[in-house]
Amino acid sequence: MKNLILILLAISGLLYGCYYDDVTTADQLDVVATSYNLEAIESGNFITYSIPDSILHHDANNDSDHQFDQIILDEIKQNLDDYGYTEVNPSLTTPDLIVLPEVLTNEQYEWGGCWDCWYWWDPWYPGWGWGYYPPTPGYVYSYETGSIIITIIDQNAIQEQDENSKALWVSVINGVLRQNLTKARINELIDQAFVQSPYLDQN
Amino acid sequence: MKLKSIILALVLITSFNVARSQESLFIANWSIAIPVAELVDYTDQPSFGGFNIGGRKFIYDFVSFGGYAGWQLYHDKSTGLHAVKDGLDIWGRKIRHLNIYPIMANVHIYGGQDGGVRPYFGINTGVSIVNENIQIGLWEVSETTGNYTLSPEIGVYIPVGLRGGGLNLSARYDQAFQSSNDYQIQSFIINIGYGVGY
Repeated sequence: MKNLILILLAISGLLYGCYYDDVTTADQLDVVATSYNLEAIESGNFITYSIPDSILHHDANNDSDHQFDQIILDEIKQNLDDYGYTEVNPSLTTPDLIVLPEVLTNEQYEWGGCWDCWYWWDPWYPGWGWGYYPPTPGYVYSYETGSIIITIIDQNAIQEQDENSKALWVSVINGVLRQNLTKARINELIDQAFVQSPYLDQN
Repeated sequence: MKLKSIILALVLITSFNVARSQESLFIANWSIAIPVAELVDYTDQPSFGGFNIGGRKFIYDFVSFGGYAGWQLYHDKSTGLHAVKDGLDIWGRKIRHLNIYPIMANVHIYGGQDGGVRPYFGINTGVSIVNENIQIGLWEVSETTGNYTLSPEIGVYIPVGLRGGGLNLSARYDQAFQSSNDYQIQSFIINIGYGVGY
């Protein structure tokens, strides 16, 4: 029976080591989601668009970083231009599409610790044994997440004041805010939102 | 003199007690699972993270009833574009874990002699508790279902040593039928373990 218990413990130890360590860098948590109305996009003849010259920040503490705002705007415009759209001045020409970029930041809190732990110590060494040991102190940690939200709306639906109209296309780029977040990574993620939306291409 | 030799020989022979009549068997196995059929759509990689422990009670020398419980982990990881549904696409690193906890009853029929190498075949039936966890970026979805499971098995028990212990090798096909989840879980399992008879 003692041998069987030791074998079970050995198997448990080996299997614990087998559990996969899947996320090793913050980059691996970046996500680009696109939600779209394919029928409305394909049936409309959209050529022109307008976009604000600043980004709306949703931030409870009003202290979010604006260093990437112009980069985000420029990259959105570049992708729309590549897809055959033309930016117009809304005060002079009514655009077909309205593009609304937003940034949302949020602080997440998590707790950790071991409140009811059973520890195994080698019973063959004198002075140690099986049993319950006092809980280790708990701890709280936080991390900040950020989302770039790009919404494309049909201008005609707004003019007709259609209460049931929905956005043609919404992209949410989400990830952990980190010190090493670069312009290149922001551009790569915005590009990905358009790469996975070939139905937007008017060329 | 001749009688004394015979008596001495008998005493020596019976003192070894190699073959002890087995009434029960307790087995712990490390299990390797290979996904087949519908489960291949979820992951095509074999799982080396699994174990099961169980017991068998011999009602005759060649028939046992028993059961086992265990755990098997399937894992899949991919980075790229995932079409979630019409009108919704998500790009990112998708990580899927499938934890399966079978709780089964079984009956086995044995060949060979008690105390020797014993090939066997049998059938396991019960329920598998299946927990599927999908993580994309910071978003995570988890679902747990109970699935009726049927599992035919063949194997061999090889005694090792003098105290009723032995090596257990078996293969079985697990069929966990679809329930509130949307696919069946089918796999080919190889068990390598150690048993103790008493």
